[in-house]
Amino acid sequence: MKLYDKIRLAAREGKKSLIYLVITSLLFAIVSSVSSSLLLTAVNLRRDYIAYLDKSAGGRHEFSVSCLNVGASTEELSACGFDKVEYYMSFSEKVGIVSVKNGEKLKNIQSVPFVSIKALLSPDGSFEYELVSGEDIAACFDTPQSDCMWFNEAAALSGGIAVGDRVQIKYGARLIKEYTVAGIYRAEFFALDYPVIIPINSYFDCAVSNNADIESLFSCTLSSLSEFDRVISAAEQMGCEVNTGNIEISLSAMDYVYILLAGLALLFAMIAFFSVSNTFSVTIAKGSHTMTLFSLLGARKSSIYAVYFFPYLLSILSGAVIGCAVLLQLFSYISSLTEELLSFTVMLEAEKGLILISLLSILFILVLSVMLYGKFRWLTRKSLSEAVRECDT
Amino acid sequence: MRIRDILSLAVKNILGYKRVMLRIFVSVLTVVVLCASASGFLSAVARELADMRYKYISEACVSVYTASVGYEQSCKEADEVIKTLSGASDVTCRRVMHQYDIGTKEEYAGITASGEDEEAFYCKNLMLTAEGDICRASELDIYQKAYYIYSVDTDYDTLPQNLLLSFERNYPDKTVFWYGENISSDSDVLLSAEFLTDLGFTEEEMGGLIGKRIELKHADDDYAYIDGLTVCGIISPDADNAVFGGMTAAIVTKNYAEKTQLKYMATDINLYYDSFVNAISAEKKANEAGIHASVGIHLAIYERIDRVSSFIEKMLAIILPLICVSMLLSVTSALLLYYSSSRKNTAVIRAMGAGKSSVYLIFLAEAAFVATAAGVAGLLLSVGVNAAFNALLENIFGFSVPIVSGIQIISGTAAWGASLLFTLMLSFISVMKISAAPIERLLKSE
Repeated sequence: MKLYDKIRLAAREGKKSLIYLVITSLLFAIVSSVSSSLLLTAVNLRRDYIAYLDKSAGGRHEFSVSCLNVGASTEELSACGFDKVEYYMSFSEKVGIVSVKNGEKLKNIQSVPFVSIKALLSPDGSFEYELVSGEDIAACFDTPQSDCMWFNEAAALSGGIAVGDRVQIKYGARLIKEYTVAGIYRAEFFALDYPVIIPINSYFDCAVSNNADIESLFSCTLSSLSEFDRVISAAEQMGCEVNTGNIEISLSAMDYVYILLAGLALLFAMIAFFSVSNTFSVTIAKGSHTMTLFSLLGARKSSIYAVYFFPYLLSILSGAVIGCAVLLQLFSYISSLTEELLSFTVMLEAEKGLILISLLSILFILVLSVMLYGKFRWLTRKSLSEAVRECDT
Repeated sequence: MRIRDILSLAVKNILGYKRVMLRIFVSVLTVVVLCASASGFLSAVARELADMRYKYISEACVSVYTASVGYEQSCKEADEVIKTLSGASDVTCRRVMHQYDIGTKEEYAGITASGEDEEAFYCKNLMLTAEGDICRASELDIYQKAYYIYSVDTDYDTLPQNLLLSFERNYPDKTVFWYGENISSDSDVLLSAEFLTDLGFTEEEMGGLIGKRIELKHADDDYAYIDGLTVCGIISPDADNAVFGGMTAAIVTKNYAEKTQLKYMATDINLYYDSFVNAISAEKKANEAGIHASVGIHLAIYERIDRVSSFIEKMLAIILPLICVSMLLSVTSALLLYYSSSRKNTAVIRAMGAGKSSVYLIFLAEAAFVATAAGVAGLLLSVGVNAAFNALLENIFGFSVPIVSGIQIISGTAAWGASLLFTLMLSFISVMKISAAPIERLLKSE
């Protein structure tokens, strides 16, 4: 068959099933654009939202991590994936302070906090104090060898403590370490939070060796939330409790959007695959009789194949073009929607969308080829009389 | 033509056009599966978001705290604030609570006049006596562990819906009241379980207090803070923090508190909104009107839940119609094939003397049979699809999708109904067209 005849025949057959080809084209356009935009929005929305949160926090998300045993160290927490870990404080209701002078346990100090001097006095902190007597807290070298501690004025008064007094830190009846009162401070708003200040590093090793069961509080920093789930679950597996504050709420809400959009994209793509295949099958069935006639007239298989394949190919290609146009409109709508409602713009790369639509086109062309091939195999296996009977019915 | 003949012809046609019927079947099936599964999935996500929203809906609140202006002025301010901010229909509830120390004005004046430390005012031996000789007394240092008596204005809500919704979500196994119920009259009093525990009451004894008249007084000098009120409920410790202001000893009505000599501290005016976004805009409105209102520091974070929900709604408003159109196209192509291939058959039936109505009924029966079978199969298949989705999402996100749900069945049935209606509509149009055409043309299948 000449090429010209093939084209004429293809045009004639295409015209006969024009309505089906138009439906296939529109169906493919919707399926490809909706699935692609849903999938890309799902993936990019989460990524860009995390970037937005990182930018808002200046690349520094702080969490307070409390560990129920003193053994949890900054190294172990760093190994979980935190970018920066600092001791903030430890406290225990089982720990008491005993005055060496009279051997009595100081009352009104219910849970003794052991604090990181560095973290407490950092410019980000809100701790404000005034030195009443003795050495300044800021002069403290928080080393394991240090044996200095400070008393709040109210606690010192009620316990009869003066600068230079010796006090013992006891866990139950066990002695952890003996300290010298280096100074007395006044901190009106923190009188209950910090009745005493015991530098954490001076205490830590002794507490570990004495198996003191004290709760430690760390200040941990993450530069990006992209690893949030992994890092937090690693810390939780260590038995630590991470106060994720409201970051978790924001991320969970966005996770639901991700699940919804990705799930809908998957579901729709799956169902749409059967729909488009069914439409192909309908159009092929529509031309079945004519194919039989061509076959009876002695046309070569490849010629008949070409006559039927090209209209469908054109239909898919035109569907892909319409799909691309719809996709770009959807992208622009979604971007404006995120900017309006979520305060950031989701970067939906048009190239990725076009690649996805192209991949879907190739997939459906392959499906069409397989279906047409199946049809020809079925037709060519038939005897002439069977084909005639087929035509009659 | 008899109904029996119509039905038998319809069945014969279905069996005769097996391949075509299979395509219609698949088309309707895909529509039903998509609608049923997607709605089940959507409702699961919407439920999770709503759960999250309700968990924090207590924060959708604008508060005005008056501490320094005195009781009379606070009451006036409360009415004005509520009047100014209640114009918007999105206010779900309002609550005005006045806070009192456990102590009288006289006691306080006596202590300050004698130059004693104010701390002494707060350390006292409290005694609670109930009818039937239930009596517990204990030395409470209210300076270390603060307790207050609150009065609620019964002209407004005493137990705001927002707080209850949050409490139910945050404490699913707990109740607001261990015993009894909310305050409803001026002769009622609510007592907090934590306060009663500190006084030395056991849980069983607390239950025994319900319906009894009580007296709360200073054991050493007979000052009575609450006298002659009937205990209507015992507030659980969790609810004390989440639903009432926390640190509650007792809650009485505003009318009762006005008759006592309790030392007034401050007033808390709270307006609750149906969304976080509305609460934020109400705060702006209040401050513009010169009212010093405040919202929770994390409200801007919770607001994102509302914004995410709006985003989903607006996305779906565009996507779902497109999905519906694609499904309709799928059904249309199969139906068009069916009607074009059954033209000759129709012509033969018409030529044999069948009326238009009979032909229409045959088409109708065929469409109904195929669509019903596809609808049932689609609903069953959607159960499988949701089970697969559930397994996948449970593994990856710990998110569960109900395998069978009411919304899934309703949506699947609605999709099936819509497909059937669409099929019947097309049948009707086709039959009208076919009936209007001359039989010769039909036989030629033009």
